[in-house]
Amino acid sequence: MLISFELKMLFRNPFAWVLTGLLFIFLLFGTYYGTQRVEKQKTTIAEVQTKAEKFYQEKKLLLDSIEKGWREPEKSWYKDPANPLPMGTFRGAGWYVVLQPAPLAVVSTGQSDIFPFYSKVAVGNTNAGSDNDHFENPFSTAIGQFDLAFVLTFIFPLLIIAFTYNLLSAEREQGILRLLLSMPLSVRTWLFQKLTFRYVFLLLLSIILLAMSLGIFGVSITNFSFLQLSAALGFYALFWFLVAFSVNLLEKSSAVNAMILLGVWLFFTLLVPSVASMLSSTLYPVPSRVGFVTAQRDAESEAEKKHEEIINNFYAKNPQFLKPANEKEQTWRTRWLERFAEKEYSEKIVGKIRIDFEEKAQAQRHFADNFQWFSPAIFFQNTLSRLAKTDTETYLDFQVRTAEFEKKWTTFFKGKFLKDEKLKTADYDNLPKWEYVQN
Amino acid sequence: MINLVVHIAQKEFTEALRDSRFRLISGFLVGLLLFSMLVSWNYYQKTAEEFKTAQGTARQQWENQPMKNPHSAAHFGTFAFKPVPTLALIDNGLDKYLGISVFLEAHRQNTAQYKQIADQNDLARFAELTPAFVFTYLFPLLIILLAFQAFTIEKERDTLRLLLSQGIPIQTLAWGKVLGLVGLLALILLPVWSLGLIFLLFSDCQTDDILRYVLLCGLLAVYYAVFVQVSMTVSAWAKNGNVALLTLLGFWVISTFLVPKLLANVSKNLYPTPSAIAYQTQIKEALEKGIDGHNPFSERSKIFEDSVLKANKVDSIHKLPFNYSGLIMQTGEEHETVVYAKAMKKLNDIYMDQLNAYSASAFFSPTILVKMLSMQLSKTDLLSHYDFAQQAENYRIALVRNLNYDLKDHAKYGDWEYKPADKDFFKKTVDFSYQPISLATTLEKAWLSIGFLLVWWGLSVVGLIVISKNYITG
Repeated sequence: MLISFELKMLFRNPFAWVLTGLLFIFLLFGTYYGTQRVEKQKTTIAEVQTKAEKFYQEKKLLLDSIEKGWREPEKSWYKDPANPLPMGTFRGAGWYVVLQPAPLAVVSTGQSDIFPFYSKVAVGNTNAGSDNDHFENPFSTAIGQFDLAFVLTFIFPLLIIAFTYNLLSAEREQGILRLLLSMPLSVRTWLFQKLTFRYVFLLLLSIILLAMSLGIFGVSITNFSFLQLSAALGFYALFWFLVAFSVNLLEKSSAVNAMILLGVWLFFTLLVPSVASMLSSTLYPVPSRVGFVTAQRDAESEAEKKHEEIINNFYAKNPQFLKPANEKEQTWRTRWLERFAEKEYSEKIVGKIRIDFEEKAQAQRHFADNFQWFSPAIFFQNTLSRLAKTDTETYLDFQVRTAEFEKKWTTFFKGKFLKDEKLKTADYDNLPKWEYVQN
Repeated sequence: MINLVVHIAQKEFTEALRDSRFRLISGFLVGLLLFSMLVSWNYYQKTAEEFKTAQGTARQQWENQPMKNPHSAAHFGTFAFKPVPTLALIDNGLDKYLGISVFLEAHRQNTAQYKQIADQNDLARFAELTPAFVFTYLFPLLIILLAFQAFTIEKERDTLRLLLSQGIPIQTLAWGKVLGLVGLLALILLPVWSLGLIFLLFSDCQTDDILRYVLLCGLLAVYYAVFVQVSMTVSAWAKNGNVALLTLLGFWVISTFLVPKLLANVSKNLYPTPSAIAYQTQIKEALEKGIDGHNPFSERSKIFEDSVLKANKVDSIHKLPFNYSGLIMQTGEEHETVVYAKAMKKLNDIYMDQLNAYSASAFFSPTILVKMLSMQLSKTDLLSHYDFAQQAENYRIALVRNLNYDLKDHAKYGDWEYKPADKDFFKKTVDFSYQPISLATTLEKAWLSIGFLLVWWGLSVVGLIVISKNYITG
């Protein structure tokens, strides 16, 4: 009885129609731009994968013809498909590691406009191509994207507020409250029922509209992630309805209610995050990258100055590489042996600086994470980014896995180089493989 | 008449001052503002110091490198660090989203690396508590709260009819209310702005910075005037306070959040950026069309060699009066420079086109105008970044030329073991000194936004005049 009455009221309220229409339009916009971003990611991934595959396919065919005697062996060492050093290290060599988008990646841009989702790994290098920049206008990165996460975290609560701010006050201002009070019904129960109805109605409506806009753009919603997303939305909406309930009970005028609710919205969506971010970076400062750069350079200079010492040490430890005394001339092989030795030395120092830097950055992130308990908006936004797999954690994990892959790759090629082995066509089928299953 | 306006203004002013709501909200805002100023100050001091040390260290590292072939030194390279402008105290703009150091080396132009945002907690992406954030986003909200009732309360209490019956012209009433609110804002803002000026004077700023700051405060004043007049207009038009408040809050949300984000996406679609892969491939292809200093055996290098021999009337490069290696390195370098400059310009032009398309949001949102202007005036916008990158590139070109020419003029051909005889050789190479972008350059780009803001101001004046005449009938 009450429900059908409430429904009738909502359907006849033009304001409700306008708000619902706006929500749908925003959801469509958000999904559209999200889909575009994910499509771009997929195309780029396909592009870089074929690039690497083509490179090694060509080299393999070349080697095959040489092995079969159809072709002269390659004279320049740096072009030789049987030489593991160039084939794993430079001149287009290297394998692209990629991060595939998650099923619900469209939902949240998260950190995807900052961290790379692919990288070219070569011997001793995790970004050999320097070709994984995001060509994204810094201004729009700073402004933030109009994605579904934005619509749901920021706009959705405003709609809830618009639907609820004057439930009680309007009745009083129109003089209906007195009538109501004369009934055998407490105001609280009445307000509670009314809000519960609106909560269920608005939540179902939003989930349906969200599912529709995702469906229109071909995003699959028959997965567990979408269920999680709906549940998260349910909790988030519940929070805002509870706030609205409490504010309504204060029995202020409609205008004051609106002001208070907007204040609460500002507090949770803007003030808490900005103060929290500032506190985190003040209490857990990350040393500047400027210092990092100069420290790195110091390590390189150090390695350069100690060149003789490092090389002598290297040969003392690895006498098998020592040239016979009559062979004074440097070959490409000795040059690279020494280069690797020097690099290993400076990498030891730089590695320490890097780890120290990353630990501090991580400490700041951990501290900042605590603040999600102070703001449902932060919590909800984080949840969406986790579901979309565009959160910082995912990208940092990708970086770790990239470094691991680089080790594998280096061991394979540098190992053969050190042992002075040639690559065979069979080796081309057994190159280290990039496999990344998200946990 | 003027007297009457002042009278009304005084009444509004005193009334608001006695209102505890006003004291609470403005006290909170000023507190937030002071807090953000202190934090920015602290941050600025730290980063400015780090920058100075780093730039000095980088030069030392360069000067103290072991003696080597000048071209090898060009490969060893050096760094240029982007200084933090003093006015980043007010608005750090895009600084977090742009790289802070450029590696300068032979053969290629590198982009600035290490965006601060990648090393930070991700809460920074919600919003950042900077003075600019409080000024551009929160102050308009205060104005709305102070102004939305201006006329509606008179309508609701039926005092409007009384006032009008006493013969007060509607325009006088409207402008009196505007003046009263402006007075209130001045009461809060003038001390805050003066305090900002003091902060600024105590940091190492130039006259240029002071001018920029004053201009910024002036533009903010215009921006607030727009909000005062728009709020008054809505209040005059609305039937009751409720409607006025909701309309104004809607305007605030649209102009601060919805339109800016939406148009950022639209402008990206209008002027799509290339993928990094495509960009690198294009550069690679263009590079192959020129001379590579490290590959003297290529067809192009041979043609160049012949022309050099002919010009010097000798038959072998050994007989040239200078070291041919140095010349071909520099010739290759010049081709590479052009290739990178072209590619970089193309990309930057796309970004600028996006920003221009983005300016269209000015029609819906004065906030975005002020946000852009405050970045530009604080030297933390994209243009200032390009200015830095360009100067770093010019320095790189000069340094590499310096090194290659030494090789050309002093080394014997084929002697790759050559080292400059002068022990202070690296100390004498050109040094990098950054000249901050001038106010004139900034204004060249900013005048359109300033113009738009003034149009907003003019329209809001007209709006108030027209609406108050037609809607306030008591």
